[in-house]
Amino acid sequence: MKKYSHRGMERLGQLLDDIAIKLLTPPETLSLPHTTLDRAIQRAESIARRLFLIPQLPSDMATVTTSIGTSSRDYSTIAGWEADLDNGGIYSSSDDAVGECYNDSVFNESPDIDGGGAIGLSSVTLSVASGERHDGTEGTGARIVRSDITGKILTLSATSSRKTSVEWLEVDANGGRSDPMVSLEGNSQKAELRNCIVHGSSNGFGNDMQGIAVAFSGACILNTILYDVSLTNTGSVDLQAIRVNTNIRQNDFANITIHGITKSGSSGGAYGLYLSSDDVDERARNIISTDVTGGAVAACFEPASPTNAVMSHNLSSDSTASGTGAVTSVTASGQFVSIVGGSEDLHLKTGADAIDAGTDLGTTPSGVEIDIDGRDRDTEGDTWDIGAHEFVSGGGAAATVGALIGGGLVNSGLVNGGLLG
Amino acid sequence: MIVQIFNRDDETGLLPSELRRGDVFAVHDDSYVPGNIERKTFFFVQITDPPKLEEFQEALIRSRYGIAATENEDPPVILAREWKLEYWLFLSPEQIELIDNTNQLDVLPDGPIDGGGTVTNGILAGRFSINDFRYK
Repeated sequence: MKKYSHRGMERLGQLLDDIAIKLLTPPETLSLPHTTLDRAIQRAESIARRLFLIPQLPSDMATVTTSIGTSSRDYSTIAGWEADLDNGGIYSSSDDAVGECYNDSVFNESPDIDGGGAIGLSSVTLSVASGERHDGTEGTGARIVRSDITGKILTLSATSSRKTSVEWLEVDANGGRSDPMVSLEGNSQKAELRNCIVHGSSNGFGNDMQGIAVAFSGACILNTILYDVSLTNTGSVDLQAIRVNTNIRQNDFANITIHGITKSGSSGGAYGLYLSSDDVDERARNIISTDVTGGAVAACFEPASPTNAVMSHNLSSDSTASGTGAVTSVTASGQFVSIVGGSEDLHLKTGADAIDAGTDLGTTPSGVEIDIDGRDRDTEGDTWDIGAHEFVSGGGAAATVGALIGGGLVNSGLVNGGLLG
Repeated sequence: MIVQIFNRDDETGLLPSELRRGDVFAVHDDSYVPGNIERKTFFFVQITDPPKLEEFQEALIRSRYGIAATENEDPPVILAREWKLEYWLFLSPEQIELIDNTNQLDVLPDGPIDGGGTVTNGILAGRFSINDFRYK
């Protein structure tokens, strides 16, 4: 909830008084153009919703899906879609807003998804249309590519009353200095990152650097791949692949693959999943963290044995994976299809230690069962693997997720239902 | 270049970082084509490219910042945009109503409009120049 100053509240009161006077004026004496009055009413409504003066009725809820891309879509940019989240001509209170990106061209922008509060949206989801999604490797689906900024490429800001999610998108810093590439923010809870690929940032600044930053409590990262993040500054600064800020708690991390986190020099630290020391109700499950190197200290999981966080079925290339079902000291090359720089393919390969070594999380939190290729581990009855990918024996190269062949849904090069593999 | 103008005033106005009616939302090159909803919910104008195009484009979307409370904090945005186009001072009430209407049905129709300028694919060209933008 945003904080309003006393002066602001006085202004609000004056505004509402003015509107009330106008509304009580007999229509024939009104001299306002319709649009002016409409705007005043819309403005008053949006303010009232923010202050919870207007109740939200379940019957009013609707899912409003719009397309984003450069080929005759509804919006040409993610920022344009985001700016309209508070447009009363499109959305109503309690609606669920879904923006579906298309792989028409690369998105060259750095959106901050924090809209929908004035209208009172129930949820905001930035997704990728079926058939336009990545296949688990970079450059294969709708993506944001930004190498020209030093700040955040993608920011999610949720509130306790409005869930904000991003799914199926690739975020590529393309060798640029973005720090962090993705930031999960908001006053509290409900920021979710699902089925995304985040990679490619290399920074030489003399500050701590993160791949993904979790700035508030209650965030969720699921089925996501994060790799190729490097801090080239040789000084006493730290690099964290995923960092949970101090005093942030209750986050849920599941089915994540982290690889190739590199700190230059022999000072500072390099970390994979970096939890806050205040880790009450934190969960980290089915996470792969490999090849976290450099600095004076390097750890795939930090701290290795948190005080309160639930750590289970994690895998590391060092000794820091801990808790039930931990797998340690594996080689990254033994897990993934390719770890060659520039052509990474972090799908699991035959013989990987991560295969069938995860814990079955069922369907909670929502979407946890859908792997990086779109395979539903739950309905398929899979024995869960660790990491973002669910390996299926006999699988070939990943095919376009969501494409239909003979009535079957293609995932990871397989056709669910047993037609292949 | 094509300038995408914010045409609503439904933000609270109580926070300085929120866009106001007339603020420059984004700038694009002349080949840009707005989205089908976007062309109805924003106002697009095409202007002749000024000399030092990139400097102008950067200035039009620049924010004004305050002073950070501490060394570790980013400075707060105190003004979302430093420049705006007060298009309502240049256009007729009927044209303004079409531009500002957010019901997605009423937009400036393609073709020449009263007072000068031509609308093509939702973009008004030939009516404004870089000199019409005002520094706040």
